[in-house]
Amino acid sequence: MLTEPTGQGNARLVQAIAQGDSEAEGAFVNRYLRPVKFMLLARSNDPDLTVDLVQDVMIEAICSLRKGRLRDPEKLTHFVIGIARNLLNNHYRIRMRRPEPVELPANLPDLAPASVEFEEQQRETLAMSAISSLEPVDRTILKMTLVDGLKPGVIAERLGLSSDVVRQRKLRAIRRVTELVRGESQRETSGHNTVGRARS
Amino acid sequence: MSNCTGAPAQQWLEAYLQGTLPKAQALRFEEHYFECPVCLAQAEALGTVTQKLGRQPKKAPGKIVAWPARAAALGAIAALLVLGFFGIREFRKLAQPGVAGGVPTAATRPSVSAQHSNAPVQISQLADLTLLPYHAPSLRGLGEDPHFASGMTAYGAQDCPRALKALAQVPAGNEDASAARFYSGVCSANLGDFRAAEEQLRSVASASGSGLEEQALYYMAQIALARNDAAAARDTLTRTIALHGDIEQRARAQLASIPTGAH
Repeated sequence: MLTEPTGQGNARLVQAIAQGDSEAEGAFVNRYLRPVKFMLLARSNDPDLTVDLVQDVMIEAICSLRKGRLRDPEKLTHFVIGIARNLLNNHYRIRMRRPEPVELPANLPDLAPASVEFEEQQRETLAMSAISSLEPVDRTILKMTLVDGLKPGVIAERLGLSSDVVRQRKLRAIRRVTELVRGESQRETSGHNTVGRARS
Repeated sequence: MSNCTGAPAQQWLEAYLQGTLPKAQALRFEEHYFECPVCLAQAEALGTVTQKLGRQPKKAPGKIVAWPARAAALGAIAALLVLGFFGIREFRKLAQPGVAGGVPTAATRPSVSAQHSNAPVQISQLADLTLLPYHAPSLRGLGEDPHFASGMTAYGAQDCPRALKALAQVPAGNEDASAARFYSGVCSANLGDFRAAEEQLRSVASASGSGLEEQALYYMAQIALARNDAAAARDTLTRTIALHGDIEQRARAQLASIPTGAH
């Protein structure tokens, strides 16, 4: 589970990182790596770019926190989201020009923890089996919805079904795959995911 | 701890993944799942499923026909096969083997196994000609050409004919000209006009400094694959890899997946 995102917890974490506590930096990475990764992937739809940028986001956030640039610890999450958005936007802005090299600071925490990678592999395997477990019609509806971005009315027309049937099947398929991936993933990874907390 | 039961993810996740959630709502949802493990887990699960579905081979969506109609259609096909079998047998009896104008019989026709052994390896199924994702103009900074903006809006709506029309109006010297040519190439390929697509993509790939050389080469490789032209696909993928850019790994994987026997 993530480090508890309370106001006090944030203040302790931010203060500890500013004081050079490497354990606090590890806790920061454990707390924000997954949501940052998901956000970048959802916004870019590019797994390779996501892998590169997630590291840059973590490095930039840790460097800023080390320098004590975040005045209001309550806004820690907002601060991380802002960095992620800026880096992604910058990537698209400078794609036409020469990309700027990222300077690597010393003593960084592990930015690709084995537990996170293990979870991702598990999730990918479970996603494949969840997709295979769907009826072909549901799989097609799900793909047309999530990948092609089509509305139920358009899908209904293409598949010769009614909009209501498409909507119903889509909801059922989404619930099914989400439960299968999430439920199984949580069962299989329980015990792997221990997250440290910042020392106060 | 959060008391959330996952309702925000159930409400917003699908539109968020499709990129259709209004900006303000998307920002609120992001702020929520950054702090909510329940919604984050749901989001990651559906996000992974979406990625996996996106990588599955594309099939033309056929209409799902109701059972009585399907049964009738199957019956008709079976009847045609039976009639065809007996019809060919009768026709062969009438035709002289090896005589010009007659139907070649098994003696004069290459065997099925021989046909198979010489059949070219179909690499077209490796081609990925889906429209590449494009990000809203707000991500690209200010000063965007209006024709380019309108073309990319149409592109985002998967309306390739309208996108092509608008992108063609982007002035040649404009900052967005290379990107306009690139996305025009992608649209042309998506519409099946490979010749126009190659012309546009080649001009982007050969113009250094556009920042889109790698993508243009990679997409040219997809067209070569779609045409079953393994040599051209290998060549363009090798050139893509040589640029050591964002899609190097994907190009390497695709190059490795082209069967050695394919020409």
